[in-house]
Amino acid sequence: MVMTSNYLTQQKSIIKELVDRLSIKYKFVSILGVDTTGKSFRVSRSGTSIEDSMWTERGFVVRVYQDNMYSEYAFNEITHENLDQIEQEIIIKTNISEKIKNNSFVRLTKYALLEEEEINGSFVKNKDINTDVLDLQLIVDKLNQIKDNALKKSELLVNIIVGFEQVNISKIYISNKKNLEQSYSWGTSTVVPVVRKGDNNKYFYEGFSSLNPMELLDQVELAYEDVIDKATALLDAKRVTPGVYDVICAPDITGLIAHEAFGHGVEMDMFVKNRAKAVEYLDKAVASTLVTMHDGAKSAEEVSSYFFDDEGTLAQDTIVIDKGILKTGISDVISALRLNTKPTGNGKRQSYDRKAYSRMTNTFFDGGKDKVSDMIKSIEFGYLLTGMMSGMEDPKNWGIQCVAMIGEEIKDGKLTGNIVTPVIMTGYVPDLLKSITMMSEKVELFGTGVCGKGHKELVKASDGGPYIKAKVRLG
Amino acid sequence: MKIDRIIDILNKRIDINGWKLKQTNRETYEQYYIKRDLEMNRAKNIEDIYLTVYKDFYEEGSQFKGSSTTTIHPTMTKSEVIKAIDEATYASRYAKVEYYPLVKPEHLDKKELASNFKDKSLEEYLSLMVEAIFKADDYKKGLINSTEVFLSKINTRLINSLGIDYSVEKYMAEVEFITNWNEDKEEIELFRHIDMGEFDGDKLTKEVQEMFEMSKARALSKPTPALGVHRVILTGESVKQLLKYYYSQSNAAFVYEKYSNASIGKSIQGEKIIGDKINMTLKPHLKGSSFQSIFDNDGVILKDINIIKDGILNQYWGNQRYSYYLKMEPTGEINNYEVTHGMHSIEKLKETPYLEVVSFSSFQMDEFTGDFGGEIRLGWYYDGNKTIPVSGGSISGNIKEKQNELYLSKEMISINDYFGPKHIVFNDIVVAGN
Repeated sequence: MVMTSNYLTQQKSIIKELVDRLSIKYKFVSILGVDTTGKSFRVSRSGTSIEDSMWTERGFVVRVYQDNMYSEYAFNEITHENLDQIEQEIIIKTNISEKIKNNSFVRLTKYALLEEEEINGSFVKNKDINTDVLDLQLIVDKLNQIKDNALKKSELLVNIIVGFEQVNISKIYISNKKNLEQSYSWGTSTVVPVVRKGDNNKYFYEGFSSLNPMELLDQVELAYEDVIDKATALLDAKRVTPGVYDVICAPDITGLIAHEAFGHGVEMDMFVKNRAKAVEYLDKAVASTLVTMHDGAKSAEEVSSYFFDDEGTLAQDTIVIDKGILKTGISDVISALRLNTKPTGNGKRQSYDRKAYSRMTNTFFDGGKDKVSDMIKSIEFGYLLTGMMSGMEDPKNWGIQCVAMIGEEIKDGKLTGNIVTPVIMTGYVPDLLKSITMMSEKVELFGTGVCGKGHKELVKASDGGPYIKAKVRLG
Repeated sequence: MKIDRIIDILNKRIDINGWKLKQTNRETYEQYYIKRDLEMNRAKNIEDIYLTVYKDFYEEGSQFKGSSTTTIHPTMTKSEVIKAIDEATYASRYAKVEYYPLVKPEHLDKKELASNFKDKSLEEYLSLMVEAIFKADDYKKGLINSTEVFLSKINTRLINSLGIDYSVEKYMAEVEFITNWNEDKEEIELFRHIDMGEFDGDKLTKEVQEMFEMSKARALSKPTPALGVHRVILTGESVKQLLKYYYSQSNAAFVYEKYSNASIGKSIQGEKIIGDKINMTLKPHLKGSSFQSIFDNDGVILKDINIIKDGILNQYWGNQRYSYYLKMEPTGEINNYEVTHGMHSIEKLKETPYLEVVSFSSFQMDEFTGDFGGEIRLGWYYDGNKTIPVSGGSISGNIKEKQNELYLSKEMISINDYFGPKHIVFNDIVVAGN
């Protein structure tokens, strides 16, 4: 069952003592403690690997308020015996040196003192799901069975990589006013067939995510044949003729647009830096009236569904776009201090030793009222885009770069089976969002990927939505 | 738990056939600026230990190696460490691959990596990096929007059950900055991330200045025209990424897993090459790179390896496991690569109309399929008469369809783990524009 880390539970008294000691010198002190365990399985033609998950970590980060700003120190060794030493290291290493203070090139930011509300709480998600002891043999046997069956399906298949990951996260947040602890888990599974014809290599990717990891193996088993078919179809795919097209975006591409094209632009640390065009559009139309967009650890049950963020702010469901009108951004604590707004529970760190930024959690568009079949029928010539490949944000200038693996041709309201790959969507974000004229009912979320800020700071996030019909430039 | 005690526990295990420990100690200082205002300073002191246990066994007449890697946190008690070893040992029964031997110890000729970061304290160098960046922040219409600066000293110790016990100290610096420019219409921004293994203040200042010039150009840019199939010049980071396709295709793992058809002694650049032929050498000690290394994660001692000569694959490179499978001497995992320059200067290559892309939103080079492309954040379009800055739209292509006629510039560039041509020219790339 999902349960709080014994290690963190045992360390709480030391951490509390450290907060108390540091509070004599600093007006604000908080400590985030993290103990994350997990296993990552990967099966392919050449063998099996079982490793600790890349998210495995155990350590602490302390934040203190001094010289009207906030400083942090991360460490991963603490005992009663070395408490004096840790305290001294924090004081020395977070000290803003005279050299910086006197450097003519730079100034010090002046932040207000953070006034936290008093909250105590202990949260455990999905207590009944057994995640603490994995049946390695069962998982490996199942992954190998899928791999072996898949390799019999096509001579074009040179390899298939079937993956499974399960992660248990425990965190504590202790400050002068807050005493919080939480535990939750998530899992992902992936299947990546690699096909080859002559010198032509192609692959496709399908992934599943859940708070109940063991159900994912069955999903992969059900999906792998379709994924192989898609990879094989790519071998005969053509390149798209550049131009502006009517398109239907499958839910994974809708999620890519929600996340990359728009979501990054409403991360409010971008507002502070004057890097977000979204600021000019608050309470203005940025999308079709069909579009309502959420973000929040409480907005869905997915891989980024926690109780409090990495700065001790409780999770919420934020409506970012309401019927086409941009209502608000999503925020970490420090940005909220600068903007004089309330944090939204979006302060996330790659790991305990990295900085917290405003980050997305579960980001998606609400569903609409249309049938996918009607959406396809409505297109004279265009493409159905599926297979999220990559995306990149441009919060300042709202340029789009979203890449889909598959564009399936639609002609006279019917799918023709002709495929183009890869498909690069470009354009101006509001133009794309305002061009949305149809949305399907069902919303799907995807949590297998990781989200970066710029080219670093990877965190888990999910995104998705319904099928949408839009107009976009493809190349 | 201290590493010597972990070794004691491992040496007493009779249910494993070998082990490897990698210990890293990272001391890092970080500063975050909005404009020139220090927003936050951070530091860290972290020890990480990764243990891999190995178990050799036979099944149906074939020899296998089982292995599993687990994290040993320094705060783990003895019973926690034993539990982690037990779990890794159990997992190694199921995590099996074709047999390969562990690396045996050899004499290390080189024990230090070259870096001037060791000359002063990390905090002093961090200040020098910040000064070098802000020295270039001197424009009326442009400014540095925000900057993040990181500097780490990393001590790594690698130990295995066959007697390897290597240590090395290295430095890694990262700079990320955003430049803004406003030409009285919409303010624009460009993003830059730089990794480096040694301090060069003048180079850093120059890189920021170049970003300002590019930002100014983007602010004045017109939408990229719909050029259809056109002559395209890639410049800088995208050249590095594009040429990495050949680095990956030469990798023993890619060959063994059948992701690459590359054969030693045959062209890796396709047939009937009429452009420049590629020459690539892997350089573990490439000057200025933050990926410099003396040994790899398995303990293979690294040295320069020429992998591609005049477009012909000279040899594969690979780690211990895949090198053994391909029956070759392991070269180890080397991250730095050097490519020799082409026949023509960029001046000569720019004589006929072109679209030169100097900044992408995020250039994508798929090392499996050869597909490449991305959205254009800044390009220069020369129509035969005049050159104008352009942005928006995208380029796309596949290297396997274009590699027989690519042209590398004589001008070279150093980008952390890459030293090679600054420009690459293709005659017929699809350009999507307005």
